[in-house]
Amino acid sequence: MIEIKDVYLHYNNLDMNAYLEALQNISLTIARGERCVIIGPSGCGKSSLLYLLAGLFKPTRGKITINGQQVTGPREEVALILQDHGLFPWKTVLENAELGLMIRNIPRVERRRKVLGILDSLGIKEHAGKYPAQISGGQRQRVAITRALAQEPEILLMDEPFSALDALTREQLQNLLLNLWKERLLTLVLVTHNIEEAVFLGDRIIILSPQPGKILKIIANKGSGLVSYRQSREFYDQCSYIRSVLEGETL
Amino acid sequence: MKTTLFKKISSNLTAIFFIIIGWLVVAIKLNKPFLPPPQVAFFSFIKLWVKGILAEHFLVSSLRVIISVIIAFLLAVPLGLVLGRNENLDRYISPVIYVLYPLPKIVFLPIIVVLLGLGNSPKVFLITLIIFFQVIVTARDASKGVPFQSVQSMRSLNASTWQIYRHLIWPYCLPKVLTSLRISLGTAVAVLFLAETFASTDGIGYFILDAMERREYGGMYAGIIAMGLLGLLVYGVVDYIEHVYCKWQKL
Ligand SMILES: Nc1ncnc2c1ncn2[C@@H]1O[C@H](COP(=O)(O)OP(=O)(O)O)[C@@H](O)[C@H]1O
Ligand SMILES: [Mg+2]
Repeated sequence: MIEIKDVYLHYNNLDMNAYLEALQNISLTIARGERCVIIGPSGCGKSSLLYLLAGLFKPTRGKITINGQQVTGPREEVALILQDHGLFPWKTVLENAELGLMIRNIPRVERRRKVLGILDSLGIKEHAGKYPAQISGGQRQRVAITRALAQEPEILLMDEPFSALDALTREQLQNLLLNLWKERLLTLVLVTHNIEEAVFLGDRIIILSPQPGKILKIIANKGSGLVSYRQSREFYDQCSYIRSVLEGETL
Repeated sequence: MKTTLFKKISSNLTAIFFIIIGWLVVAIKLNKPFLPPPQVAFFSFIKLWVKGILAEHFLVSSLRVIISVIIAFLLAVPLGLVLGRNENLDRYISPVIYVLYPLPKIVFLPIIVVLLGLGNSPKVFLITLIIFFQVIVTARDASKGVPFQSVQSMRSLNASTWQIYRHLIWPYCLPKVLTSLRISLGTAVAVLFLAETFASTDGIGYFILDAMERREYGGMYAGIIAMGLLGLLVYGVVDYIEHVYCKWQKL
């Protein structure tokens, strides 16, 4: 369980006394096994919020706890997937995927076995020896997912994971993610600016306001969780509702 | 891979061919003893090399360059990479570097000779100095430019500072560092020549000057050819290192 309580985040910008308020008074509880999607316009602090959850930054004010423990740094049970920069071009698919385990000094044989297993189940084992530049965007994202899953996380944080992909690939990966969530009993916190993605994936959707990011609305989205949801009437209604909330704020 | 190597060799041979033709034409037109035609130079090169005189001077000069490169690299790369990641340290050390970097290091030659004598150490010291400054500035700028997101991605995997250097900063900066090494090698070889003519009893620079003073023009050009080969050798080594460690760059 993740508890975010009265969290503020300020960035000190380079010119001495100017600072930027990125997040304002965020309070949110995310239950175990939930799929929580955070949506908001660009620059509203979505990535910043994920960084806080990943323990990479400390909130200026307020408190974040995971399973009752205050977050003070990166934790083993939390995996983070960044939009573009997760994979290193100088490492092969396999080396990229096993990086997390390597950092934890897991013996080579063990980490290879584990990572190759996941690469196989995600359908990219045959590319293990290639470099990121030699595979497609969708395949790269699968590698990033492999790296995160190899860590056997309880909580998976994703920052606009599919935004650079074409529509078809994006939907395939969204379906894949849903399956992984089910199989591995993950708690998912996913950031996006894509409304359809939010509605398809999130059983709860958090709408943030433009900078400084505050919680505008929290929407329960109980119909989600099945691949067939995408074709339903409910799905479209939910999308247009969220669009109206977002537009109401930006106009 | 084989075909690119083949292409490289054949383009190098073509270049050499044109240099020889140009040389031949100018030599015939001028018809002066100080510019013998290429075949004369080549014969005296082979003769002097087989005798061992030229080979010995070549070895001396090559070792001076190679040892300087290794020392400069081992000092400048770690220091530059760390400076790029530590603003506080950088603030104090960079001004020192900026004062010394643009100075033509050859101006120190007389002092260095007084302090270190006429052997290998003054030459190695001087060339090391030249390469050191070029490489440290590049390494620092490169490590400053490592994407913030990549660092965060490493941190989220709970990587130690050492692991961040090892898996991210070092491979990210290596191609740039090798480029700067290549740039500084040209200057280094030129300065080596000057140092070997100014205060020396061995090395190709000494060999060339000695032949010139004796008006032994065949020998002089044999020395010049050896100098060219020395350049080819050191560039070849850098290219090879790049080929092995930076394959991913060409994808
Ligand atoms: N490291 C940083 N230093 C200063 N300002 C930052 C930093 N990171 C983000 N910001 C600013 O904070 C705000 C929120 O950024 P971010 O969390 O990246 O938003 P989003 O992911 O929603 O686009 C933006 O105005 C951005 O310019
Ligand atoms: Mg963002």
